[in-house]
Amino acid sequence: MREVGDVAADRGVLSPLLRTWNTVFGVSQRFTRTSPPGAAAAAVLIFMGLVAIFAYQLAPYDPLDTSALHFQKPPSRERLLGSDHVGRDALSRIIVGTRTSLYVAFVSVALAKIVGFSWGVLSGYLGGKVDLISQRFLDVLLSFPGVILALLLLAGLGAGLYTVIIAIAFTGIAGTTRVIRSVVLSVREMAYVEGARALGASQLRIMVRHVAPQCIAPLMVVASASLGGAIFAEAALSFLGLGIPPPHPSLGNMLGGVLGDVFKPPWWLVIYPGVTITIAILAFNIFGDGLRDHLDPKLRGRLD
Amino acid sequence: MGSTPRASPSLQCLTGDTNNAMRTYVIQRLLLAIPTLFGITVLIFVAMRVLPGDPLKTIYFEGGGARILSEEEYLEARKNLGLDRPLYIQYADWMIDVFRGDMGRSFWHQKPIRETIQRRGTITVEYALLAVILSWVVGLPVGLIAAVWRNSWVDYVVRFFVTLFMAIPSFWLGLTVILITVLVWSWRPPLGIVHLWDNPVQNMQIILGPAIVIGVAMGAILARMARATLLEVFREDYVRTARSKGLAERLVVVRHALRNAILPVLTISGLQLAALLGGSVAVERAFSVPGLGFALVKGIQERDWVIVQNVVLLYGVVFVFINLAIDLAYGFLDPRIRYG
Amino acid sequence: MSMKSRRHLPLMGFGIFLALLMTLVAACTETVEVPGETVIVEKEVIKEVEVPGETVIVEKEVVKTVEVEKVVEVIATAVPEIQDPGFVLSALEANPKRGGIFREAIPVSLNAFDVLQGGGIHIIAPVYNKLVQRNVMDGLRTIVPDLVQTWETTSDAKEFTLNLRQMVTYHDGSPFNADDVIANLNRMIDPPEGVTSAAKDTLVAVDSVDKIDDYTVKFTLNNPTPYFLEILVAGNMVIYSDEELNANNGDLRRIEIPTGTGPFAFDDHAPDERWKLRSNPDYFVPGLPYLDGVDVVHAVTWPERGTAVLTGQADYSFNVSRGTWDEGQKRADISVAETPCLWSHNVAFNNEKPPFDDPRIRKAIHLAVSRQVQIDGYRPVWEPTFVTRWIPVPSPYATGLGQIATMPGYRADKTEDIAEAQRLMAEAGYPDGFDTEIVTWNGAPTAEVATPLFVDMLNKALGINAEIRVIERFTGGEILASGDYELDRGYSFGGSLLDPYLMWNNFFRTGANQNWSRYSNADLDAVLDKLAGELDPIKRQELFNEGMDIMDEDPPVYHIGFCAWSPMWYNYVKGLNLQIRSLGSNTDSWETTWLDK
Repeated sequence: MREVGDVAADRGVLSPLLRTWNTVFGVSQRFTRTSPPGAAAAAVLIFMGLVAIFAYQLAPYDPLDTSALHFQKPPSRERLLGSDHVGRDALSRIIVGTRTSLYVAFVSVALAKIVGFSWGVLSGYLGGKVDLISQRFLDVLLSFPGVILALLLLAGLGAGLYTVIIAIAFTGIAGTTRVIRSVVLSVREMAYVEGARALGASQLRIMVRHVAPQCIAPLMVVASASLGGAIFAEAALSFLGLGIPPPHPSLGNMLGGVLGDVFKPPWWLVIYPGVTITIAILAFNIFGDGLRDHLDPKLRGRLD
Repeated sequence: MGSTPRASPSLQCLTGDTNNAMRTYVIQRLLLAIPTLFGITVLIFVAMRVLPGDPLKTIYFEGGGARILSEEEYLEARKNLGLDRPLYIQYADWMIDVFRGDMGRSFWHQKPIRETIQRRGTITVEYALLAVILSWVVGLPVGLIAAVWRNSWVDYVVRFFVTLFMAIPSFWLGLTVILITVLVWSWRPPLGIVHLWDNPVQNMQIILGPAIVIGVAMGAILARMARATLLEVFREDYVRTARSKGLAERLVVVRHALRNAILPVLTISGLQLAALLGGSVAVERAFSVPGLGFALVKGIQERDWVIVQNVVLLYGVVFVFINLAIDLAYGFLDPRIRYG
Repeated sequence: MSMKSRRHLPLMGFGIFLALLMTLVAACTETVEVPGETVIVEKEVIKEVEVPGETVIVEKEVVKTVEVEKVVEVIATAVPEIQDPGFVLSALEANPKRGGIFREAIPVSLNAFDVLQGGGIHIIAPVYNKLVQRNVMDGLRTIVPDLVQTWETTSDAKEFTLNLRQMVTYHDGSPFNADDVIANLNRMIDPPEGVTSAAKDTLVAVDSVDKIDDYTVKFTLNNPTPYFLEILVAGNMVIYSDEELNANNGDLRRIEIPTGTGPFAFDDHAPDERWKLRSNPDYFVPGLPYLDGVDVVHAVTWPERGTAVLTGQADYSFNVSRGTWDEGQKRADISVAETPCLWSHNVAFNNEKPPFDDPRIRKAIHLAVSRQVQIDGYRPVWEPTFVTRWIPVPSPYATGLGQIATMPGYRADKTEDIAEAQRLMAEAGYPDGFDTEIVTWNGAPTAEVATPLFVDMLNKALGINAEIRVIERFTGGEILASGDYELDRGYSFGGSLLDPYLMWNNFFRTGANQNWSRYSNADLDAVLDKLAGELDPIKRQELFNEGMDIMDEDPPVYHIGFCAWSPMWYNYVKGLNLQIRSLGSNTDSWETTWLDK
């Protein structure tokens, strides 16, 4: 658990680093111009990301350390956000919980998008019978309520960090596939693809070199929009008692875990995790909008 | 909720007599639905049987004074519920039950599933419909206002709240609402199910909470959608023509823009409704409303296969029909679309 | 998980001290004054035919009804029995009002009306009668007639002759007689094909049930069982009609309308939703019930039940969460009580899986983890628990709470216990602890509060690192049965009797039916053998003490204690005598209940 989401430090040489910096700087400058709220959201997300990466260094207490002296104590100077039912420091748990939740969101969305992307490209490009069968299969998947799909998967796999990730990822595959497929359908007929085909390029080469790159921008937009959804899904599953297993904190199980089963929950345990989760979803949503405006304003109508 | 293949080529063929083509289209769509529904039944049927956790062991452990069956008793109880027969017979049996209309009996309480679905479903349908209506009542005007006065302070305020309400987890909002009513007024909505025709006031007390919490979130999405499409429509030629003709702005908006902007909004709403009918489990739990979602989750947890199978099938049917209804609505609202 | 937080230990010590203090305070309140070394006193009371007048804190008229004219036998039992041919229940209060619907908040998740096959006993209790019952008039301290009017016992406690009430009818009009009793008992002891019996385990002592005449039944037992009548008060000992059993081949799972002899008759039912009963005008106790009917509000969780009462949707709930209970205590129109229950909180060891097969490891855990801190932690979200040894609080054989609070392992001060536990761990070859896994069902009280607290304390004291495996509530039984666990927080042992023999025999004897911790201790088995035939209460007490000492040395499970239920009700609910109850109950039949409004 501790190592979850660790990002190895980047050890590049100086000049590529500078070049990267310039690119990043340029992109962010342009991004800030097209979408100021998006840029603000990005700043919030970067802050949250840093908090997540250095969670264990930043947390003032061990997030798993229970203490009989601190059972349900309101915020104080010593413990800024109070402590929970078993005396664990709420601030430390929110910090480490942010790390877990972001990790779950990123990994599950990445998984869902990779699978959905490949499926969409294959199905859209190959067409014919493959497409027909895969379409029917998608119909079946899409007509399952997402939460039921997740519940079934969790009931089958048992609760755990990775099972939650898989369950959330699974619910996101069908939607992505549909979007990517529709993009592929239009790209497939474009002149340069026809040209490549006429030049005798192999199917695989066309798919990888010519069709897939065209789908990256829509994919990024769909992905950024899904991240907020993944955070929400994790919270909802935790609320139903099927989220990240205790004692490890996540924003979801702080918000959902005890809340549903307590008559008068301490306000600091309702407000702070709830606000953190709302901020995270808000930031992802706004950033996603900004990214879409930035990458392809025309996508707007199609993806809503 | 990505874009569904609204734009697939088959929809846009402009040939044939409308009525006839429409009938063919509907039949075609219904035929296409059969493999989907079949897929759903097989998938859920197999999934329930693959899940670890045996309904029998579960039942007898819970109710019978925490007792575990001996191997012999277990086999007998299994036989009693017909679980010892081959899988394909069990599947056929279920299908027969479905077509006969009673959908089989629950392992747990031995009641016909149809009863449960009727009672629970009514509540879920009620709050889902109310939420959709609410989302239209709130979402459309707000989206419209924001679009008409785009980039004014009104627009910014609207966009701020829209984005905010899209981000707040609805079950959390619901839970907070209940906590406040209990703590401040010592009041909470009645537990259990009271039907509209039995006691309208109590019924409203039960469904209003979930309807508002969900309606607000859906309304936010709708407002955003409406604003975006309206802005797009405003740029279209015919709107510009109408404006240059000197038509009053109000008429332009209502007669031309709104009519066109309503299509995507309708799609979103339809899909939201379909998703809601499956039961918004977390919100139902937050309000302790015993709706269909609650029944389904409990069915999964208790491994009451029969109820899960039927509710999921029902959900599939609803999904297919709502999608069809949306497509047909397109035909009425947008004369450019023909079915062929 | 790290051991970084040693620095909190002194502070924790203070917390533990506080917890101990609170437990002591709880122990001194009136609701808990039952157990201890009072067994002999109670026995004398029975001999002198004066019946626990002084232990019952009731108004005067109570004592009158409780007084008994003759006692047939002088065998001591854990629960005194009252025989009086003219005995009938009534509300204690003068001039009870009639009418009204009583609303109760409990889960309505029953899967059938067949109590032997998973039926919801707590829901259908008012529809049926049992042979004998716990006396609601003296706070469930004695056993009094229900369908049986009087009984006789031989001095070896191996034959019980029950004289049944006459003129009792089922709700459908059919008469009740000895055939009904025989049919039900036979079904419990030897169920027909396709039927399972949850009552089988408690009736192992019964050799045969014979009909003497239409209103007399004789039980022949293979072992002396002085507490036999106590077995018959269990919730699942309800008497269905012989006709109904025959018509359904003994399998009542599919009946749609439960038909009993009870004070209330079935009215309406929707699963997981509601349950309605109306009063039975032909009830065999003249003048009862007072109520017009009972409505059950479906409330599953502890706080939900409490909220239902606080918000006026229910008049009563037998066990609410402590948070709502505290809220109710502050209100003038609501009363609360705390009643000991007969089930316990534990963490089961899988005794077959190393290293838990080593008694030293089990004892180390038994010693090192503070019960007081855990109870203090989960109490607000769940239920209070007494720190007890292996016998429930209300049992006359239980060790006094005061004495337990000073015993190694059970006491709040952990310094010596942890040192000893660490020594045991080192001796067993695990000076630095080991990795293991603990099963817990999802739901805040267990998964989010109780289990993490236990795990963290286990880690800090002994370095044992237990990963939490969360399972769904309903698969808990299967996991216990299959043995696919190392530690399990969902395990509970208990029963319906104050005499703990059957409970021990079912849960802790080598190879027993419900021995889910897979415990085996030859010494304990020997003690159980001796207990089976022992009639003398003093010797019985000695044997139980011996058994408890054995289990303290070689614990079958990590036992936190027996729980307490927290009933909450509006002041206008009368006739239940909740304030003076010695025992929690969720199978009340509401016959003496009335509403003062």
